[in-house]
Amino acid sequence: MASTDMTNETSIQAPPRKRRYAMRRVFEYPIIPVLLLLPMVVCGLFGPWIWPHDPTAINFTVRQTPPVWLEGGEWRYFLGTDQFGRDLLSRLIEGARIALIVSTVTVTTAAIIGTAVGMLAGYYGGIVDTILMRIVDVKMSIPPVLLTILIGAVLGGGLTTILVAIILVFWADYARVIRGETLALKSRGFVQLARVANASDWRIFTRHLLPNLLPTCIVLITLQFGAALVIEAAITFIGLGIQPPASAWGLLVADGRAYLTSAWWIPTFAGMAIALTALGANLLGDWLRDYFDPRLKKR
Amino acid sequence: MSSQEKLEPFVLDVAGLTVEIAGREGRVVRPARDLTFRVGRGRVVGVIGESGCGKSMTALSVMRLLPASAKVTGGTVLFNGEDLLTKSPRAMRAIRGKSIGMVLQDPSVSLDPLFTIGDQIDEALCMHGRMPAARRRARAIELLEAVGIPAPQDRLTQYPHELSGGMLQRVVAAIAIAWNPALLIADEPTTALDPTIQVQVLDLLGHLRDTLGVSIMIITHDFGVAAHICDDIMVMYAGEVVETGPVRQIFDNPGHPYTRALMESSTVPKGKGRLPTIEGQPPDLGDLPPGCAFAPRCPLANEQCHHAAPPRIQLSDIHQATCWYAGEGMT
Amino acid sequence: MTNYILKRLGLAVITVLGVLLLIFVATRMSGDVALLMLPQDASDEQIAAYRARHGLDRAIPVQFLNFMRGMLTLDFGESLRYQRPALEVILQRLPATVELALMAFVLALVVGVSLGLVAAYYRGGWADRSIRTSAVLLQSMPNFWIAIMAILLFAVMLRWLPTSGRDGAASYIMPAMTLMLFPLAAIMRMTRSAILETIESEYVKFLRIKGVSEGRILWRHALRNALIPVIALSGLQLGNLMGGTVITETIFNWPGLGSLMIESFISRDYPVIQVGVLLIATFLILLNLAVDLLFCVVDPRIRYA
Repeated sequence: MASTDMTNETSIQAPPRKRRYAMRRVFEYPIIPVLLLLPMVVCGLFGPWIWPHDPTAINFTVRQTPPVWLEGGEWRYFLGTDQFGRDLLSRLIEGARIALIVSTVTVTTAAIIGTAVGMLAGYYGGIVDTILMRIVDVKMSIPPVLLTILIGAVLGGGLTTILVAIILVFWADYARVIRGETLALKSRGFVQLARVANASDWRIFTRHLLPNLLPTCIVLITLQFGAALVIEAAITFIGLGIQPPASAWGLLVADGRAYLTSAWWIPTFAGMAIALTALGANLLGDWLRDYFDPRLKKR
Repeated sequence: MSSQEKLEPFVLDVAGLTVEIAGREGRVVRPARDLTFRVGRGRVVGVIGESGCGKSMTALSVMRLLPASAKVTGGTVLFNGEDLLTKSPRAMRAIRGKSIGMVLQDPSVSLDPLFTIGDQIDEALCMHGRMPAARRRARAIELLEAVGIPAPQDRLTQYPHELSGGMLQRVVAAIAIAWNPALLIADEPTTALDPTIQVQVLDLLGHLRDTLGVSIMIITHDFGVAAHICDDIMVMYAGEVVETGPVRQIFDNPGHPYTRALMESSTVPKGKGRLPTIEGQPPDLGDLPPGCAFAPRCPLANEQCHHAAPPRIQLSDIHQATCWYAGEGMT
Repeated sequence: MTNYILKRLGLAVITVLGVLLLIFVATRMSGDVALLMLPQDASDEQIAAYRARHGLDRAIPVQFLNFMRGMLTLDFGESLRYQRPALEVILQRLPATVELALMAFVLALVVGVSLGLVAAYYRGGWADRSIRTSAVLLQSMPNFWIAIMAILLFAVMLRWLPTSGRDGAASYIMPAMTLMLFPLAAIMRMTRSAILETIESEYVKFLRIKGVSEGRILWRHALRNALIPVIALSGLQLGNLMGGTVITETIFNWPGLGSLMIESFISRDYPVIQVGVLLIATFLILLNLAVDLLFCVVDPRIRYA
C-alpha cells in the first residue's frame, strides 16, 4: 500500500497542470450547492411575482396536462397540471414558501435554544448537564415521526405541529454538539485565563465561547436546514402537516400518489424539488465543515 | 542468512537516498536529499536533528513504509548487501519484523487496543515461520523477560491499556526483537515517556545490543540521548546529513555549527543563564536557500555560505562535516 | 464492569420514565384528557365518569402518579376504534413490523458496512467516489419519494412487483429496500471514516512493521476496531428505521405498527398512539442498552473500566 514505487522515477518532469488548478478553483467556492439552494430561496421570497399562474386556480379543461416535452403538453403549463388543472410549476413555487418558512423558523429557533442550553450545560456541568443529557436520551428514543404523531394527536395537524415537532427534534441534537464543543473549549488556555482574570460568565460566554462555537453553529444550521426540509415533507406527506388546498412539496407527492398511472409528473417533480434543495443544503454544510476545519478535508 | 551477515561490515548502507513528497500547487518537498550513511554491525547509530528535518522519513524509507504521498526517487538502501528499494512488496514484508525491527515514538498507540499483549507478540511470531503454539508461548515469555518485564506470564493476557507507557515500550521492543533482527530502528523511542523511564528504555536498548548483537539506529532530537548510548552519530538538517562520525570525536570536535548549537541547547550550562536555543526555525523543505541550508540561522555565515553549497570535509578518516568552516576551528 | 452495567441499566430506567413523563405532558397539553381518551360522540355522563375514575379533577402530581400506575400495570385504556384493549391492538400489528424492520436492518448493516469497506479500501478511486456521492444523494432524497418512484417504476411501468400489501415474498422487496435506505447512508459513511481512521493509526503502522499482510491488517485489526463506532451508530440508526416504518408501511399498505399509528392519528385513537410511542421508545432504549453491553464484550477498555 505505502510501498515505494520506483517506476515513478522518470515522471519528475511535471505534467501540464495549469488546467487542473483552474478546475479546482471552481470547487474553492460552493457554487453548486448555492445554485441548488437559490431557486428555493428566490421562489419562497418572491413567489407571487414569479409564478405563471395562480397556484390555486382550478381549470378542469386542462386537467392532467403533461409536461411540455410530452405529447399533448403545452408551453403555458411547462411542467404540466394536476387533477384539477392547476399549474404544477406554480404550485411548486408556492410550495417553496412553506419549505422556506418551516426550515428557517425551526432551524433558527432550535439553534438559539440548543446553543444556549448546550453552552450552559457544558460550562456549568452539574444538574443542568445531567438533565440535558437525560432529555437527549429521551429524544433519541422517540423517532421524529412518532413524536410528531404524538404531538399532532394533541394539537391537531398543521403548520404549528410541524414547527413544534421539528424544533423539539432539532434542539437536542444542537445542544448535544454544542455541549461537547463547550467542554473542549472550557479546558483551553484562553478560557482558563479569562476565568483567572475574573471575567464575568457573561463576558466569557459572549467574548470567548460564542465566537469559537460559531463555525460549528453555522455548519449545523446548514445541515439541519436540509434535514428540516425532508422531515417537513415527510410529515406533510403522511397527512400530519400542511393541509390542502395549500401547496407544500410533501403534499404534492402525496397527492400525486393517487395519480401515479395518469399523472406521474406531479410526484416526480415535487420530489425532485425537495431532493435537489436538500442536496444543496447538505453539500453546502459539508463544504462549510471543510472550510472551517481543513484537517477533516482528507476524509 | 548468518553466513552472509558476516560478509558485510555494515548492516545498512544507504547511498544517495532522496525522498519526494508532492505538495500542493506542483511544489515538491524533499524530506531527504542525497542521503548517504552507514550503520556498522553491532553499533548504535544516532540520527539527530530538530523535528521536520527528515529523520522519520529516512527511517520509513528504509522500512519501505512511507506514506502514500511520499516516494523514494533515487538512491540505494543496501541491507546486508541487498537493495531494499528493489524488493517486491512480498519480499519486503518477509524482511520487516524479521530482519529489521522498529520501535515507534508513542507506545500507548503502537499496539492494537483490542488484542492482548500475548496475542500481539504471538502474531509477530506467526508471521515469519511455523512454530507450535506451546513454543510460541514460551518464546513470548522469554521475549518479555529479555526486555525486563516482571511476571511475564501474567502480562500475556493483559490489554495494552492496562500497562504503563514504559512497560508498553518494552512490549513493543520485545515484538521488534522477536526474530533476532540484524537491525533495530527506534524512532524517538523515549520522547513520549516520563524522564525517569526514558533512561530505563535507553539502557534496555543498549542491553539488547550487548546481548543480541543487534545494530540499532536511534532517531532523536536530544543530544543527551545520543550521548547516553550511541557509538556513532549522524546529524541531519533540512533533509541532508551535515555531520557524521563517532560520538566521542563529534563531542570533542564538532565540525558543523548546527551540531554545536544542538549540543549547547541540550546540555544545561553551568552557573546561571538561560538554556541556549537555536535562533529561527528549520527551513521550508519545499523552498530551500541556494547555498548552505543552515546559513540563514548560522552565526558564522558569510556571503559564500548563502550562495554556494558547502563541501564535505574529512575531519578524520571516520568523521566528516558539510560546512565551509569545518576543520578551521570554530569560535 | 458490574458498575458500568448497573449505571447503564439505571440510565435506561430513567429514560423510560422520561418518555412516560413526555407522554403525560403531551396528553395534558390538549386541555381536556377525557375528550382525548373518549370517542368524540361520548355523552356528558361518560365524560364525567371518566374524569372521576381517572381522578382528572385532582392535582397534577396525583394525576401523574395515577398515570404512572396505569402504565406500569400495563393498563393503557381501550382503543376507541376497535373497542378492545389498546395493547392488544398494538401487539396484533407488531409481528408484521418486526419482520420488516429486522429484514431492513440486517440488509442495511450488511450492505452499509460492505460498501463502506469498499470505499475505504479503494479510497479516492471511482468506487469510493460513487459510494460517497450516493451517500450524499441518499441523505438528501426523501425516502417516501424514492418509495413512490420505485412503485412507479417496478409496479406501474414494469409490473414486476406488487404495489402494496403483504402477500408473498415479492411483496417484501420494495418495503424492505425502502426502509433499508433510512439508516444506510449513515452506516456507510461511518464505516468508511472509521476504517480510514484505523488504517492511518500508529498501531496499524506498527502491524506493518511487524510484517503483517495488508489483508490481515484489514480483516483482523482495522475492521474490528472500526466496528465499535459502527455498532454505536447502528443502535441510533435503528431508531431512524423505526420512524421510517411509519412512512414505508403507509405507502405500501403494510399491516404493521407504523401504519396503525397513522390510522390511529386519523381516527383520533389516542390510547393506541400512546401505547405505540411507549412501546417503540422502550424497545429502542433496551436496544441501546444491549449495544452498550455489547461494547463490554468487544472493547476491553470498557470491560475493565
